[in-house]
Amino acid sequence: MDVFQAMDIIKGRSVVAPTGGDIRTNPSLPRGGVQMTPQKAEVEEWAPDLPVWTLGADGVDECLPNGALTISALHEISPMRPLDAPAAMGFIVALLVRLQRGLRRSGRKHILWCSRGFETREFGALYGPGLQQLGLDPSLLRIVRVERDDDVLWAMEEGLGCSGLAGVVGEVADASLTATRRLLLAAGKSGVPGILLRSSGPMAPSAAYSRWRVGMAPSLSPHSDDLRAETDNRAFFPSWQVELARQRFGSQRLDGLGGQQMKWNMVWNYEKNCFHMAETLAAQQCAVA
Amino acid sequence: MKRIVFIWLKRWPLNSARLPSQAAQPFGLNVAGSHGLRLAAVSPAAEAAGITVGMSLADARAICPDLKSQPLEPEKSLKALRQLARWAGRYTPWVNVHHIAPSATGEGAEYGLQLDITGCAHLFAHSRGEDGEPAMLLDISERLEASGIEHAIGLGDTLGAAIAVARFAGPIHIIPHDPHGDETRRALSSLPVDSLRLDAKTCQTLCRLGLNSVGALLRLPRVALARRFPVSKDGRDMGGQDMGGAVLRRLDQAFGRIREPIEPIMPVPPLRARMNFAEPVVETDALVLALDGLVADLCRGLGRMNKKMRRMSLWLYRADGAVHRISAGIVAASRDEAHLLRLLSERVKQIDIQENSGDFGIELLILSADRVEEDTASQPTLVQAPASIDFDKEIARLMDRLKGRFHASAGDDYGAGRTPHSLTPQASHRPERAQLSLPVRTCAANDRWGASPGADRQTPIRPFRLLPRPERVQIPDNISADDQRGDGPPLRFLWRHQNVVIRRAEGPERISPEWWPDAQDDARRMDQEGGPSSRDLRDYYRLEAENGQRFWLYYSTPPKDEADVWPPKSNWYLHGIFA
Repeated sequence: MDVFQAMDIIKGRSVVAPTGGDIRTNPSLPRGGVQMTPQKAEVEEWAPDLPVWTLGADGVDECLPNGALTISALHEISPMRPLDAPAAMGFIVALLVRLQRGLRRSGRKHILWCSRGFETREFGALYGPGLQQLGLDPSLLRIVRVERDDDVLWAMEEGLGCSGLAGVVGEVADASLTATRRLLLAAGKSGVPGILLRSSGPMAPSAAYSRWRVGMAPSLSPHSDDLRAETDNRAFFPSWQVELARQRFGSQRLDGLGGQQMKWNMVWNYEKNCFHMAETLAAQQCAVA
Repeated sequence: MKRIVFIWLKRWPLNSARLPSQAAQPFGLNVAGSHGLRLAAVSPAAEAAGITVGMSLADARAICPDLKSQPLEPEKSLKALRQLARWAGRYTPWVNVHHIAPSATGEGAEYGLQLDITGCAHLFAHSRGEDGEPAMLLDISERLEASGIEHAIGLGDTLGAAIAVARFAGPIHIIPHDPHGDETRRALSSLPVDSLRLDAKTCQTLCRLGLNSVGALLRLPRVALARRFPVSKDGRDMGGQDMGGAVLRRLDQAFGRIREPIEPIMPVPPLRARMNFAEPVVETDALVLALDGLVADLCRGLGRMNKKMRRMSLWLYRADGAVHRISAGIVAASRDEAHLLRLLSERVKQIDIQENSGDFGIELLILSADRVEEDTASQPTLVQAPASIDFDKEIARLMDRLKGRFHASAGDDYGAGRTPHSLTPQASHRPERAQLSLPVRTCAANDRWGASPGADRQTPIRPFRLLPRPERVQIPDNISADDQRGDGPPLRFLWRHQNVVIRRAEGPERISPEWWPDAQDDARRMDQEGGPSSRDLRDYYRLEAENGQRFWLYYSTPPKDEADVWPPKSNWYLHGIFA
């Protein structure tokens, strides 16, 4: 099936439902210069087997080209401040959960996480019980821990070349434009998305399709009714400030938003594996109150 | 019938330590005995001066005043002998060391290598159909000679015969193969009885009886020998410790009536492939090219056996005698040439061929399949889609490649080093013990995490990153240890020079130490680092700072010796970070 057929399916021209979940023959959503933006619901209705990587948050998906993150591409997350790294990592875990949800029919589920010694010492090693509670099955994780950025990038590129994986995550301090382009090419070839956690402060040039900046945000008060109903007055949902700093092929939506900055306060609901907008939640709470 | 080579290394301690054994200078190695220092090894020059092994150093100095001496290091020479055995792996995988340490009088030391070359000699034949044994022994001899190692080589149908001819019948002696033992009889009958690996006392007795040669022993009726030298009950006649019993047994061993197999120092791989280079290869790229044929060879052999490989080793023999080994584990058993070749070439590119040497190149490559398993064609099940089997296979290959690249892994705090690992739950309430990092060995997914991902309301929330060890935070006010506990978690604390102001807190969740004592190990480890004991009672709190950072902090009951210290140390530890 080629891209045009995929488009047909999405637009509803073809009534032949795509068979199987083979990611290699089913390209992900058309991207790049295609002047059409189907709504997420439309996509899922007409092509239920096509992998779609949405965030499931109303305001955010609309800002992405075709209403979803591109699967066969590189995405970059960086913390707003050095202390925000755990928030950025948490956001990555949430993205992975969404990704696995999108890929659930394709049979690919393993994640390669290329961890760096620095992050491990600073913020600790990935901890299975906690990851599980965030919604990511720890048994699907394959972790490599190395010291140097070059090794992380090497391992990521190897991982992106392996089409059996669901995704590859790498923690680096910095990566050159060439390195990110290599990763992007590998991802495009295999259809495995790469997520780069880039800790260096300023936005250096990068080939990533989307670039996010994530910071920590105070969680909503547990005493608000809606959340209490869901969390049993127990835990706070992780909440982050998320900013979509750059993205390729997203210009038409940007115009529509009138240059509004794409910055949200998002709350990760790990019981439902989706994001909430903090404002919506707060509004709901007010309404209930 | 087996073919056994014995390499007798007469002056091994001198040769292995690269001491001036060949130089004109008299030299000896001494051991400390009950009556002062005695010589355990002497150089040819010293021997020419009349100094023998077993002589006391003082006597030897009297004979030869400029004798130089230094203590013998038995461990070192044994280690070197093992290295030589590794080197001898180029001839056959069945190699063992023959090592008897010197007694307190300096005598009785024996050094050698035992090689079972059954079925290996033809590799050294120059033409088809030719018996390769002489060429092989010559090759061994030349190489040892080039390294300055004094040696004598014997080849026979049994280990006993090989040792006898190596020690007493000249530098290279071959007993032709003969299933009836006549050739062995002919070769051994003229040799002295010492050649039978008997202890000195027995030899002396035999000589006193006029039984000077093995031939004389053979002419005696077996019954008489057995009566005169009965086998001791506990069979302790192998090390030359026991007086009697040995003679008949040693005779039988030499003539193959008692089996005496060689125990290889390293496991013998089920399959090996080798490649000799006419000229030593220095270029890594050329080696990678050569690997192609080698891997193909091995895979063909595996295919014939209908086996797949789980582990392989590549041995690189350098021209100066150094041996380099690369071993690679394979997550999903395979005999796929392209994959194996990729794994190996990645590793070959990493090694430094000319490490610590001049221009020596690699002259021999041996690729061995160390662990093989039956080739069971994977059968797609109804539950598992065929595509996902392919995915598993691809992931297994990826793991192999990552392992190859990040192989030199020292274990770190989490048990797994740089090699790819996966997380496995462990039944423990101690947070740091609740998960294990296991190297990825099999491609099978472990679903022992049980419950589906996501939080349920009963289990308390855990952080998604856990610090390698809990870090003590500082409480700004100097409140006493008793008051620290207060009514709850601290409102502010100092962690890594960062002032944290707490906005919200949840807890406590009490986690008690496990009563069984197998936590000693990590208790010790944590105490060394000045961290908390791992056998304490902990009250965990989830805290959120004003800026949104979320921590997992716990209060630990202070250890007894710290309770009265002033100013009081903080008993709050930071253990994890929430998303």
